Amino acid sequence: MKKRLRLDVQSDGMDGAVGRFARELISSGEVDRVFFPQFDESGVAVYGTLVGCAEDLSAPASLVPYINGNKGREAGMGVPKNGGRRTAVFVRPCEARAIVELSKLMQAYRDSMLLVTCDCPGTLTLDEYKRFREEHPEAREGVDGFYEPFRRGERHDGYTVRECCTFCESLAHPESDIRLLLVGAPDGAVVVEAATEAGEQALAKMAMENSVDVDETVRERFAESQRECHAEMESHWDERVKSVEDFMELVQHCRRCYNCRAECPICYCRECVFQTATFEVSQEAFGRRADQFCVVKMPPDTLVFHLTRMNHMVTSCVSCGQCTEACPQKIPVGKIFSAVGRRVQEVFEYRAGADPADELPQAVFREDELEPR
Amino acid sequence: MEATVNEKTPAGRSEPETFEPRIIAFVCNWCTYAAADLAGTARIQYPPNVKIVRLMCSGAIDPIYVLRALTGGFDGVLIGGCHPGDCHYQTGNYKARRRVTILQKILEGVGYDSERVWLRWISASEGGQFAATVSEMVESLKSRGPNVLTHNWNK
Repeated sequence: MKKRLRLDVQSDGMDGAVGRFARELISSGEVDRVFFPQFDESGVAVYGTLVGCAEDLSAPASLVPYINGNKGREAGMGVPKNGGRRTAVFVRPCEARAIVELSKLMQAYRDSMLLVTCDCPGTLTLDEYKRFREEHPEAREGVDGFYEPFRRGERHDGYTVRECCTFCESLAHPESDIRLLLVGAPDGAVVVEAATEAGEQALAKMAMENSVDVDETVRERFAESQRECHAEMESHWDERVKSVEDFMELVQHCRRCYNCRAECPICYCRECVFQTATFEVSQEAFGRRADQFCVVKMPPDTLVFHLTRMNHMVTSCVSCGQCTEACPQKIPVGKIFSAVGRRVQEVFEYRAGADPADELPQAVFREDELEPR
Repeated sequence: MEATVNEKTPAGRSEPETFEPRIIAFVCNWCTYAAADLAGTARIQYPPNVKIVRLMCSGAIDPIYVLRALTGGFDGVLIGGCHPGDCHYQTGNYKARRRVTILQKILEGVGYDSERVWLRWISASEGGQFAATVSEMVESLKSRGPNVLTHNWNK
């Protein structure tokens, strides 16, 4: 039985309660810093912040239903590899998955982190978030209201979550040290669960005593509906993409702006192959291609771009969907990569971002596998 | 060789009546290239549809080579390496096997016929096997027809 403690929601709302918890983690000496999403001075924009002093965590926004990109990468950038000192990282499940993948790629130090994730009902597109804030200038009430149906295990129908959130399969990240449970939690409380030994040690030092439990049937019901939504997406993909022409239709408006790659938490290369001489096409080469095929699309190599990006990162795709948000041409990049990624990951019985002990499929091999050819 | 990628075969222009698939073969220096060489010196007949590119190891294949070939006018890609356990560099072919599998799964995922990409183990002594593999692949590609990507300019 995992240790579950009650975190009371007071007048500062759910976000305030989580912020209080984070401040306590610092002041109890359990961690040295926290990585925490906060409002900037406008009270609207949300950024990941690295906080060294408890009192400077004054505008907590970890539950505001909007994420300004996948902060897994930023957490990786901001948490150094120094034994002894530790940073508590408050992120969404998809961001935690990115951290797990990035640490396998040696771009983040998961071991220096106390990873804290919350149950996530999905986050809004920027446009929806703006509407949300216009309707709720006071973020605290808006956030608590937004989570009201979610806590009962239902989906919110007032606002549209991002496309990738509609088929997300994780209610909470299984490999986090501490999980903040909301679905099935008793009224007026956030349930803090110690999911690992490190999490348990951290909670032991805190002045939290009231043991509490969540309604597991509500949680299971919600998880079931998530699995159904995912299965629906998968079968829709199989219907939609029957030939490569169908796929090309999906990406046909691509401008090769590289926004999807820039926003991808997994694409960490400083020098991307698409911006090297390999993909540079000289005027002479364009001419030759035109002679060979009579017509060349400009910019060229749309298909090679997407398929190569898949080759590079799809085994680690955490389905966060930030690529979709970044696409100016409204290509459902996240759905594409998520659907294809699942197929590839299945071959190696790998789930991106799940278990830190699973090895990257691209990085290892077994002598006896994948035969006959 | 009747049709090469350098010849103009533009969209709209009629294809030759019998479809002759164009195959590019990326083969490793130590096994499959030697097998192709042996097939030649032993005068074993096999279809002339294949262009051979010699690499030092099948593990040196970047999937970009394969994708470029498939969008650049070839109908099929054959990758040849040493049998598992026989790699000159110990493990190159195991890595190639993972990479090609990932590429094939991606191609399947986007609705493309992954059977246009073959990975085969052919050792230096298997000249006949090399010839047989090429013949088999030509037959397979003939039944599949031309690569849809060759004349589709929106790629």
